Amino acid sequence: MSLVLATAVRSIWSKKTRSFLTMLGVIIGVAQIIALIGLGQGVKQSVADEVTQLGTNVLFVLPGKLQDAEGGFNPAASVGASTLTEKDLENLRALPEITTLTPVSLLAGIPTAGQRSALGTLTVAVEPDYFEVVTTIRLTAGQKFNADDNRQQRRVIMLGRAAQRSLFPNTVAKDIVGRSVAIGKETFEVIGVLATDQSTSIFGGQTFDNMVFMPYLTGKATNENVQIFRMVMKIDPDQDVKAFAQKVHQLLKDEHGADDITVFTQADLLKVVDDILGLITKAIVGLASISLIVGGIGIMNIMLVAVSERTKEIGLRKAVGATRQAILWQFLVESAAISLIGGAIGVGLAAVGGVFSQAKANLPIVINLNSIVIATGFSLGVGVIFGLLPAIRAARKDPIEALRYE
Amino acid sequence: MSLITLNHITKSFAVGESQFRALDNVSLSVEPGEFVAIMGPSGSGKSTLMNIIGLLDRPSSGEYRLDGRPASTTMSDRQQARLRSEFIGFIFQNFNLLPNVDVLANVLLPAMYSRDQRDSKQRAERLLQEVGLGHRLRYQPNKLSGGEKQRVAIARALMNNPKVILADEPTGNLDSKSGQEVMKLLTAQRHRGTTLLLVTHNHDLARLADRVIQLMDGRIV
Repeated sequence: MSLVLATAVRSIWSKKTRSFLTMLGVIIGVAQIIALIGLGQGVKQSVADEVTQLGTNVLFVLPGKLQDAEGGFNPAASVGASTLTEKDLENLRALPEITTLTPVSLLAGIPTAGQRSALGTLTVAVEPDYFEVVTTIRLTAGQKFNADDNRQQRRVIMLGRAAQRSLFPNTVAKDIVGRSVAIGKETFEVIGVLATDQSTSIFGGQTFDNMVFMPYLTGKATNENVQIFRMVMKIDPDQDVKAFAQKVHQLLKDEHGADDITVFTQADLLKVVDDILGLITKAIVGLASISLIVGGIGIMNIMLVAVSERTKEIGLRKAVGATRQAILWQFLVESAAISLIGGAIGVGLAAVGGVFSQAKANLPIVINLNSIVIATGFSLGVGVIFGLLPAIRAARKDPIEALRYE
Repeated sequence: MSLITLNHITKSFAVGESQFRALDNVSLSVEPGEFVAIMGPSGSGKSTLMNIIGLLDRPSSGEYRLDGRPASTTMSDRQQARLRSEFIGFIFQNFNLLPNVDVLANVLLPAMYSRDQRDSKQRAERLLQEVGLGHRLRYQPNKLSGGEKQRVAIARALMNNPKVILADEPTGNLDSKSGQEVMKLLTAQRHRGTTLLLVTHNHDLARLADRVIQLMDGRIV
């Protein structure tokens, strides 16, 4: 076996340029797949980090049945009127295990300041407790609203980056604090300016950059028909989160008389992230596999040429005792070796790409044992599958004809 | 017991509509250690006979026994390959060395397909010393003269310690001095008990043999 491998490597090395060009397809294909899987892992990791930051004792209640019968994620269920009510909020407030609870509402109306308006922003009404749960919100100027602002229904807001740029272009953050912004018929004072959001938030697919925050009770006072978009709570860390999530679910279900809500724990969120990114990764890898097939065809082509060029060698090997199987094996090992070396270079290329993407775009490409195994599997598979036809052709050569071949 | 026994061997090829008999009812036996020269004009069936004896080809009819075992039509490809590996060493007119590997690797080639690979490197080096090329182990074949190439081929043929050496015009591409050296090496193998079958046009070489077989139109005459 080692002799067969040595023969294969020697034969590849003796035609360096040709071998390298042949490998190129596999190199590109494997680099692509490993980089894309690694990128998926990187994104997954950073989102997971963000979710983990929330703490294990955080629960989310969402309207609609987001989990389908098989336990899969069904985002379409979140579309439509909310099924969460003020009554639900009151019921949950009565539970002693909940230490922090805030409703989240989406409000209509576009923020405007003078002639400028902030299209594409999302006005959200939350209780101040929200900032204790979602600790990643940071300000560059001013302050967050507090419980008193909420109780007094003060007309105060906090602006995300998008609203800052739209309403007050070329104005430094600390000068925005104290300015007035109109939403609908009401006028609000800006008390806080958000820093640029570093990470993509999974809450409704929005980043905080697009958001404008106001106190929940202020929102209710200035808007008719305020719907609760979701509820966010923190529970006593000594509680069993999973069991408590079920308790909350049961409570709301009994109240509604229907199973029309979803309770997410941190673990559930991580699973959703995992599901979605897993699906995307699979699709992308499927597409990238096409270039591997192209690489395989290149290998097949060059191996057919090699079999033809080495006809005399095949005849000689048979004369000195090689069986058909031995010849088949020799050429198969050679095509597999070409493909494997290509795969190894591809992994290296993906790693180099990872360094760049980390430095330039802050997107890490995670290369772990898993992706090495995948790369090895893919390139070995390509080498064997596309090497088979040339190898069979070599094995079937008649030794007498082959020895006469010039 | 004869090493090689051919009984009524016929080999025919289809040429268009008609059949061409390359070998026509050939019977022959060769004893262990015997040196047999096979002569005859081009197209008389010499190469076909060698290919059948060398298990590279199968007769259309007739029986071939090698070292007492039936070795012709009933044998599988794998069994034939094993017999070639164990019993037969080939020497060709045009040497047939692998161009991309050195002299030593060329001599080692048969060991790659042999069941017994112990000490194959030492054995290859010793064989190359015996043919006078102990100083050329790492040479590429294209750096060698014709005579040297054929001596490498002899060492390769001896690698698996064959019972029969089949040499097809081994001196045909060599000058007379190199040819003599090659013949000296080949005939020297008989002292080991190796059987030698030599295809040649050269009457001087044939004279060295114990027996000369003349082929004409596929028959022994």
